[in-house]
Amino acid sequence: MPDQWVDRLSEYLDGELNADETARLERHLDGCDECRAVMDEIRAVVATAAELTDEDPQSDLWQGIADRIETARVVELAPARGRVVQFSVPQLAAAAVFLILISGGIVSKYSADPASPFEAVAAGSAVPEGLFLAGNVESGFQFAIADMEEALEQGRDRLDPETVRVLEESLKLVDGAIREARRALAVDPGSAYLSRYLARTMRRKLDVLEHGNNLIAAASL
Amino acid sequence: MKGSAVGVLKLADKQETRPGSDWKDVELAAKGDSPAFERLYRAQVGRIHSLARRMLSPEEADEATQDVFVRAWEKLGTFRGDAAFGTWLHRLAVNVFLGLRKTAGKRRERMLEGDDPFSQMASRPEQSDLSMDFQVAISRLPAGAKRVFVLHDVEGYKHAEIGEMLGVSTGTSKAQLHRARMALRKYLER
Repeated sequence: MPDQWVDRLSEYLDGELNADETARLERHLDGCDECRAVMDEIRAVVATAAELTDEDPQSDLWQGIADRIETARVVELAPARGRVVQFSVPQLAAAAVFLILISGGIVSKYSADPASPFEAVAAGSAVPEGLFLAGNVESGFQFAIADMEEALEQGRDRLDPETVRVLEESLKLVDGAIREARRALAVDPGSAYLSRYLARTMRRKLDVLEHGNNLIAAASL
Repeated sequence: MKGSAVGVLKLADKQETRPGSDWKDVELAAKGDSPAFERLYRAQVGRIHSLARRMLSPEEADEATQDVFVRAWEKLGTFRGDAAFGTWLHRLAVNVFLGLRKTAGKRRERMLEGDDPFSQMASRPEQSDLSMDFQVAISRLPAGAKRVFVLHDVEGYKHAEIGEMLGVSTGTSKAQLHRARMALRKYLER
């Protein structure tokens, strides 16, 4: 578009030219059919943009958000005696991964290199594709969970009631997810997705229990 | 013939200007009440998800929207009520989306800045949904022009605000906006 005024049409439309420029452009528009046509088209673009409406997502995203904020809430609880102790999610995740690894953890179904999935778990928070829980591995989880549940039960008197309440709510949520995963796996025992989901929920339970015990330890100082 | 300020007026239409009925839920959520936060989510998710679809892409919108609400949960304690919650959340979302784009880097940009954004695009079917097609056209704009166009003409931010958010001059913001409008004009006239 050779016309020098074409590049100023948006500014004119938005009322951003000064009085002199506005007067000069309006004089030009009176005699330039091409610029008037472009102006009308730009005006149509602006009007169409202004008419766009918002739409909800096709799927409900709340559960994913709820899972993430629940973890965030647990790690920010204050123990008894009014002293605030905070643990970062990565710290807890690292502790949970360590527990998983030492208790037999997760084995690879598809990878030719049995070490790689463990490295992948340690490197990130998500259980990678192609992993499942073997029966004897799950028993390792269960031992770790039982030990930590017992420790939490013995030390819960040292936590304030609100902390205990949130911990119990968190554990209840995670236990519900574990039950759902087991039920689904009973129907479809070969599902890699369900196995990964079960692994994630059990690891989350370890996170919560580990944090509860850390709070007890901090409250005992 | 007078200039229009449609884009500027849009902001007033879409953003609340004072604390609304969600204020109590904001207070509750800030104290850790997740059901209250879910109510806030239900009230705002359409707006945030639509912004994500336009600023990023439909494919990235779900995860980016979740990121925004998790970030909002974490930062609710810093919300002072100077603006309405929806306004605060919207600005937070813009920052999150801009951060995501920076992290992704230029390899994820769909178009080279010098390309004609519609050179590979088929003509708009005459009977199609104009609004839907227009959103597709927006998504095909060069990244810089798309961000400015969405923030200015769809969301109603001013060039000074956009310049601050994007780290560019007001002049650059104006130039990108004009470029986007000229490209979209070509699409509408097909």
